[in-house]
Amino acid sequence: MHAKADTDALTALYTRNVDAVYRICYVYLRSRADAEDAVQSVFLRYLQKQPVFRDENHERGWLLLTAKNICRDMLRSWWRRHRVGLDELPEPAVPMRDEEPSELTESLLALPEKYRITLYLYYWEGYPAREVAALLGCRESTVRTRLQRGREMLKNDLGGSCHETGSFGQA
Amino acid sequence: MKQDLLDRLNPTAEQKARMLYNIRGGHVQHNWLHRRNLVRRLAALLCVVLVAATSAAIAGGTPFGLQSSRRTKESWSDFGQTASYADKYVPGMKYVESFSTGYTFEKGIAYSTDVKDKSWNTIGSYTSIYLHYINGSQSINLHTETDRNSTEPASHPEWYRIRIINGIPVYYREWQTISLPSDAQPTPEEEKKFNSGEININWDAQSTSRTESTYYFIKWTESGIDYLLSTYYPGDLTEDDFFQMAEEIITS
Repeated sequence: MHAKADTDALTALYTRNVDAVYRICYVYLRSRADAEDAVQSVFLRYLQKQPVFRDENHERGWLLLTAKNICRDMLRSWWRRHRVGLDELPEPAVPMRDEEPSELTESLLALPEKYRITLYLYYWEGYPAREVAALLGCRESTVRTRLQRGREMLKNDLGGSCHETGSFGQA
Repeated sequence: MKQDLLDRLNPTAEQKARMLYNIRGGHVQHNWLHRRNLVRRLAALLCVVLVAATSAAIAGGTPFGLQSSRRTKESWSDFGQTASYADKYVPGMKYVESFSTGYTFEKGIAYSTDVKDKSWNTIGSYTSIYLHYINGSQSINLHTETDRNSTEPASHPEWYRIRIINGIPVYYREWQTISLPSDAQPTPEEEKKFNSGEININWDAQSTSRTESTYYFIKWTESGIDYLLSTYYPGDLTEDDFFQMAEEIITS
């Protein structure tokens, strides 16, 4: 009975959050196979730790912070090499989505990490600057500086077609 | 527009199903491991993983920052096979079967890594060799690869103790390392030190609280090959012992 309840709870939590967790992992790692690995690690850590959440926002924040830390670990070059060596797992087949990434998505993914993640959380996920700062462990003023510089870099990359409002559908 | 972009970044239904299946499987395996009380084996694995993770900031000096598509090419436990793997992947590398400090060869692994540029194009690949030595319950690892022009330690000589062995500068460091639970945030001061390379931070899957440790390593470059000898648990090894072990490899 308990096992079934646990499974149902996990499935519900997974369904609520998997898209957002996968997206931030993909924006960090820029590889679908690596993002899949990271997502699995995030939910396994949830299962290991079984944290109690105040509400769904708290739950989402915990999962995204855990995803960020896992991705940062994975991005360390030696870590990535040795992790695979230890697991000795075959690479899973990863189907690509039919549609190609848009020019804006590609430009976002090509930005340096600190701008890429900040812009993503602010514009795509809709977190206010204060919450982005809490997630990334930096000051709100740093977030605003990164947003400004990131927007300029995107604008340059897109030939001036990306404006501060409108193109992101927010802000 | 925003929703369209989010949709493009979302996982497919097949990916979601596969990940959930793996998570459930991992959970079952996790419980099984605890029932069988294999904590010691996990701790040993964790030690290897931490060494690997920590080594990142030491050798991660690729021109464009990120690397991916790592894979194990070969592994072996017969020391006699090391020469052929060395010739194949890191020609000219030096190594020993055992050290005067009591550590002896246990296994070797060859890893291949693709190097990516800013746009995630593969711009090259290289292979590293990793030799694992044990002495009772202690272990130490020797990592070798073709020199990739890392700017450290020349950019921070104050972090190292340096000796010249056979005309080669050899750098020894005891590196403060903080292990945090996977959902923890370092302090701004720690984050700053981490980004500068002054301290190391691991986000540790098994950890439920913050722990501090020291990563001991010695490194040098000879004939275009980088060498790194390292461990988290040096036992009785002293700084002199590390230099002695480096000398044994250099003069082998």
